[in-house]
Amino acid sequence: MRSRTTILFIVLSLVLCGLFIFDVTIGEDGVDITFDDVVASFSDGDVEDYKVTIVIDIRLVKAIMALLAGIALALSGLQMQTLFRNPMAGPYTLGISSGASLGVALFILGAPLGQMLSSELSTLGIAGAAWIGALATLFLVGAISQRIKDIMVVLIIGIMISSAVGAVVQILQFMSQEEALKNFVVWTMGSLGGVTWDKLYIIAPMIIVGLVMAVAVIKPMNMLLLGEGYARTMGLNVARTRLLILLSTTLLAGTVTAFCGPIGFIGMAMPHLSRAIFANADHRTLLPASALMGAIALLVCDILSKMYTLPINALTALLGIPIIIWVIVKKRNIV
Amino acid sequence: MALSCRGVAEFDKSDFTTVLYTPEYADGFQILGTEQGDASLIVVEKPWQGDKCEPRMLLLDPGNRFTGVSHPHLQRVDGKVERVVCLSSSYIAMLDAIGQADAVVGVSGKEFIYNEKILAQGDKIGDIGYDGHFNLELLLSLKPDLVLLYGLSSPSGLEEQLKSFDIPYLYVGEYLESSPLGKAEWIVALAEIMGCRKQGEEFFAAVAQRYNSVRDSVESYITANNVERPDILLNTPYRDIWYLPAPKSYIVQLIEDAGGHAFTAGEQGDTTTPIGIEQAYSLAHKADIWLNVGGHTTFATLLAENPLFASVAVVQQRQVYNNNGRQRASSGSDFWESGVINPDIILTDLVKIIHPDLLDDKALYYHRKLQ
Amino acid sequence: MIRLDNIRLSYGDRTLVHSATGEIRSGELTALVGRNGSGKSTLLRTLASLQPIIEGRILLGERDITTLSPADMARTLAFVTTEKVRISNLSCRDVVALGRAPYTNWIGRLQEQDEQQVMHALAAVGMSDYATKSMDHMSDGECQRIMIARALAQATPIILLDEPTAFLDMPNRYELCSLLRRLAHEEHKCILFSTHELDIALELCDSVALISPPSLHILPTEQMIRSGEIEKLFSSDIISFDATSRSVKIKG
Repeated sequence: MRSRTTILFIVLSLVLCGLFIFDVTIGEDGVDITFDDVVASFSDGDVEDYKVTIVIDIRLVKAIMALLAGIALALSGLQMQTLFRNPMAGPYTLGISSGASLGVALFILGAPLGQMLSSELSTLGIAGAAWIGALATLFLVGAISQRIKDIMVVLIIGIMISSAVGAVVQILQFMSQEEALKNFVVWTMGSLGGVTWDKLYIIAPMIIVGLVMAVAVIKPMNMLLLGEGYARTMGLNVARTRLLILLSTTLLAGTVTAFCGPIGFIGMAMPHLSRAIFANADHRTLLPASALMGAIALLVCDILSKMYTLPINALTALLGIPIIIWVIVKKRNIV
Repeated sequence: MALSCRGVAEFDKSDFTTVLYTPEYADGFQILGTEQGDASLIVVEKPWQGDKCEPRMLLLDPGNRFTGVSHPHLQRVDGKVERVVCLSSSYIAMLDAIGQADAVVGVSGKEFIYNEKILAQGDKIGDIGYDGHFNLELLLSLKPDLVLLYGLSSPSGLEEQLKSFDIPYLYVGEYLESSPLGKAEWIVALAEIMGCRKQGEEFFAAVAQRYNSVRDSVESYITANNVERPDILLNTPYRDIWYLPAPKSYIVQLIEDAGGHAFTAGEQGDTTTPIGIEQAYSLAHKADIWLNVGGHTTFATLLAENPLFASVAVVQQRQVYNNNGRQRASSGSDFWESGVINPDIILTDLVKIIHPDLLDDKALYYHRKLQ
Repeated sequence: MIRLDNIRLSYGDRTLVHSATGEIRSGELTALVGRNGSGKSTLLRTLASLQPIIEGRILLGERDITTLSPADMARTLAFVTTEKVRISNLSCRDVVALGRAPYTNWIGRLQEQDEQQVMHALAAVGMSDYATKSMDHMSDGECQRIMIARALAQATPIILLDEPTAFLDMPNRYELCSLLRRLAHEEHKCILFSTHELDIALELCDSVALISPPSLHILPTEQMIRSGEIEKLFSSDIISFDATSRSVKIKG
């Protein structure tokens, strides 16, 4: 079993490297950049400036973002699924996505209600607004989580808050003009393209911190597999673990959503796929496995979105949904 | 439509034998008249995009000759048209140009209107809202004689309501025209409705003459001096996707007539085509001028949204212009309002941008340079 | 060993037991019996520090329970709950290894000593052959034994079990309780389990803790039988407890 796991990790890591390189070398239809051009861009060789800009400032940035986002979403999905012992949980279960979209809605749609708020928020930009929205929602859920013992109740309340926030967003949409509305809807479609090197300098550290927090709760998550009751009798500080997981999820999924809009299905599907492939519920295996699968999945989606000019969310859905269905049908008991 | 006690008869177009006006540049409408000259018929060939639509007709029947006729695609007005609801601000511009601005009693989206006369009237002009939430009660209270509307790829959401309230309406297909003069020519159709077709014809003839004269001088300037046509990049991206206009589109024709070469995409005549950000960046790299950059007026906001383009030559040389030179704070660029009937002014603007040496007066009307 | 000092047990605002005092001894298997809703689970959960003490004092070993940190508690007391736990994709060995959590490092790595405890625990419940198998296709009884092995691996002097025989068939119930008795005697553990199987309790247990609201009585089995408390608790119009046969009979 152990050697199978090692082989899987090696193979998947190689696949990841291959996909990353492929993502950087492949471009859109009609753009004339050869493989040699790409290599020259990195080695300071003889190639036109604008091609170098395309390779480094567009493709490389996007590929790195796909990598980080894939890791972030998969890890937050994994933590949600373990914390709530629910296979249908994902990064957006507690309303990060609706919180972020409320922030963005107030910013872009700036309806009469948001008139006051949006002038403050406009200096921070869409990403800031989304981040604040996600944080506010998580804060609300976190506060509730500290007061309520039963994690199932927390889950339901989280879902309700998420829906309530979504309703407010709908109202804002209803009251707004065409141009703003289209901008908002385009944001909800998600995109890896809005990221630049400057933004990566903010995104990468936040995701790394979230990642470190996730690693720190590997043992608590293993203990939580038996349920919160057992975990407590084994000495786990359940309240603190919940908080760490919520914070980690906010950093991971919140950052991705703030800069790329909501990207669905990866967070929910990839932990399941990892469980199926590695056949191990131990988070010491599952955490790196999910991160790896998440990165691979999003790189694949980015490559396809470039080849066929499709929005990223359509591809993550097409990729994620069959996986979820396949895993559920194949393995009737999950988590 | 009135139903007389004699019952309803099917409308027969064959009564309209005279051709009162055939457009020279537009292909979306025609005005027919009876032999006696007591009624006229405006036929709109294509009310909206796509192939599946039959022509719509508006029967102007001041003498009440055709009471009792009906046809699924016919609307009839008896008497003068004095109260009009315009669903597009371009119709307002057309009416204003023939001195009929006072006829406008209702609009759709007051925030988008540039026309001073309409704005000056304030609340006296009703805002009936947009597709999805039309204020029908307000519409009825305005007691319009006619509603001018448009459909996009299907009938307007308002059509059913108008039929049930017996309010006559006409689909104006000016936005479907890709020729700049073709768009402007629709003023003649609106002039016919208001009973002053001659005035509309005169206005348009002057516009066409000015337009063609500018275009011809650009043409000869280019041929005589073997001048290269500058490359023009249009629009800004929506997230990752850049929409380039089609080769035969309105903006592209204007640019070509002004002596430029616009980057286009797609083979079909009509539709804009999306390209990816890499292609857009490659084109930006080659462009001499960048036009129509969304809602931006300063480089600061433009580059904040598109930081990648800070290093391209066209931005470095500040050759970036937008067509929101005449725009109110709320939004609503006059380019899309009175610009529709002043293609000659737009053309002149573009010539000043693309071939600045050609004209002495450098002032731009609809456009402005980015700061 | 567990010492109770004037403990009050309540459920909501209903007091179940006013003032319980007594001792549950190490090296013994003690059964906790009582009618439904009399407070068995509440007592066990309070002992496991999953519920706060309302009134009174509890000593585990010689230490007051309120002075024990969660880490200390984890090394003192292991709990087997009524929850049915069945994790897929985890081998029995790994489930039992979770019991070593109080002793392993931040990521849960097992050292030589931990591995030994795990294998020992599996052997003690007779599930050594299942070490590499996953819990997916095991019977309820087998899963139950793995959960007990996990508690054993936690290497605590005290083990509490809440209705461990609930889902088992007759032979398995006996087997389980024999196992618990053996563990108590051979490893000198203090094992307390709640049950409805009066006959098994009286036959295999060293002591009985009986909740007869508002009191809790803890006595060695023989004494409990002779005390008449069981009769009081289990007699009604239909049934009565027969001391000689140590069973509940239907009144004829």
